[in-house]
Amino acid sequence: MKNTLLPSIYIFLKDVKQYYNKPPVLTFAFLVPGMIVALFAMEIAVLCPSKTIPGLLSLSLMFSSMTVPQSALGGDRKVGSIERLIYAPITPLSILLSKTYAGLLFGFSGFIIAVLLILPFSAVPIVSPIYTLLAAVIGSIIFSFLGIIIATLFEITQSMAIANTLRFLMIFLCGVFIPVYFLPIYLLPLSLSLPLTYITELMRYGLYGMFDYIDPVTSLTISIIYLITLGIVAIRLLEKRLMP
Amino acid sequence: MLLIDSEYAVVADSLSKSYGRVRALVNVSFKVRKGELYAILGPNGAGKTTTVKSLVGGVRLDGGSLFILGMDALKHPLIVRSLIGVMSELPGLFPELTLEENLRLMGRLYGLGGRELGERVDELIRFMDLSSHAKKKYYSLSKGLKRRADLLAALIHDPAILVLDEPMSGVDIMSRAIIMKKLDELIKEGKTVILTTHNISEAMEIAHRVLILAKGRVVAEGSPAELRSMVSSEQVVEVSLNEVPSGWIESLKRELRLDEVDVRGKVVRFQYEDVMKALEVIIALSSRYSVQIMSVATNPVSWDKVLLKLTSNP
Repeated sequence: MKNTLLPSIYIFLKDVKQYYNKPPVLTFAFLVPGMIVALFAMEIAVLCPSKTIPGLLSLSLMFSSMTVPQSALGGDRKVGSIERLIYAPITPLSILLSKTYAGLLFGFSGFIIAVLLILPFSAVPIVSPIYTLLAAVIGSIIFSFLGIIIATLFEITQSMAIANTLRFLMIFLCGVFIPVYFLPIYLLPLSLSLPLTYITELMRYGLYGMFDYIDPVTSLTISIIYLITLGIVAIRLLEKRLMP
Repeated sequence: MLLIDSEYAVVADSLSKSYGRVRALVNVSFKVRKGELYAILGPNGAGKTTTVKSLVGGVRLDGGSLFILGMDALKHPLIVRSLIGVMSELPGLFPELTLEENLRLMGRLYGLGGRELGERVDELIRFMDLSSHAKKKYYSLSKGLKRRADLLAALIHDPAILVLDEPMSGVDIMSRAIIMKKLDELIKEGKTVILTTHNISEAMEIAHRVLILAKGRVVAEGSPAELRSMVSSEQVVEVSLNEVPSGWIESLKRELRLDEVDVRGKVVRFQYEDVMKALEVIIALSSRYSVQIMSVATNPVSWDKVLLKLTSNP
């Protein structure tokens, strides 16, 4: 605890000062998802809100929570300051946690901004606050871990490109704009292997009490499995890459 | 925490590490006494950085044992890290934070806080004469100032051992002199300093003992005098003449049985063990060829040659 929790908070506060008020981070965390949400918000009134809104909120959550930890870890690696953290008497888990706090914070902020953008055009009912909260929390952590994994595996310039490819792939395959059951059958396995599919379904159930393709208990279970698996992968990769 | 009282700060035995097919460390063993300045020297790729990283758990060793102040470093990496202050090869504090903020953050990561931390930060900034730079962001400092700041970050928790990876690399003469002076003060305080360098003159100037690595293997260890004597007891003799007849050079080679004589203008340079005999021959030849000796100097073989010889066949 002494070597993990407190250091993780200090590193998070350091990151706030060092990275989180920078234009590239804010652009990808808020502006890009905000623009997409705003573009579709006007159509929501004429489209079926239960189909569109959960996807837009999940998308915003994904952009915000994935971008920020990825940028912070990539930045620390780029300037070499990650070594200072490695040589301190702290665990790799504290580095992982420090970046995940940011993912949670920005994920929630992105989620709330998206709700505010949608509200003038459509009500956002929250039928199940627990499922909505679970979708936001688990989604933020999963996408933070994904961002951390990418930033650990690749240098910062490469990692941005790879993360963007993954993000845009998920937008089209995970029921954000196109319901999963409308996808060609050969794309279904790919869609079902991506975490955004389950977060979107969880969000849909939380907001409207309904689901498209996967029932909420299955979505929740698979999301938790994703969270644990990605967490383990992220910590192992951090140990292996930073302490080869 | 059990710290066995030992005369050694570091005892490394048969450290081995490979990165894929590259063998970075091959059975590297060495001991560092408490309170000494121990230099790890070698050409690029010799394994210096891997060795110092292994001291703080920055690499996972394939084999060997490592004790820091009597503590098994492989079993208790976090405790061992709290005993060591590290300065990485490249400036590596957080660019957007000021020097003071960087030191506070590092202090907190080492478990310091409150008034104790504030006093320690102030004390260190004064120690390195960086008061006028305390509120400046790290990225805005010159390289020399950054290295001094890095050294302070390594000292924040008052460690018993300092591990410095190429601390003088790329710094100007002024900063180098300041860092050297401060290292000297730290040694006098009783700290153990382990530093890596590829500059043999620097290592021999400041270190009590030196470990020479090449291709991941230990090729020599000892005090500067011991290392020089391992290679050669020859001296470099430099003679300046008013003119250099070719017969003079040939006679010199023949009488001293020299393979190689370096002639640059009117200066003749060669290596020879018995300096007195060399002087006798030079005087005799000068008389025979009617040339005037302007000056004669003898110097030890250069450290670069010592290093080349030691690392040429690891």
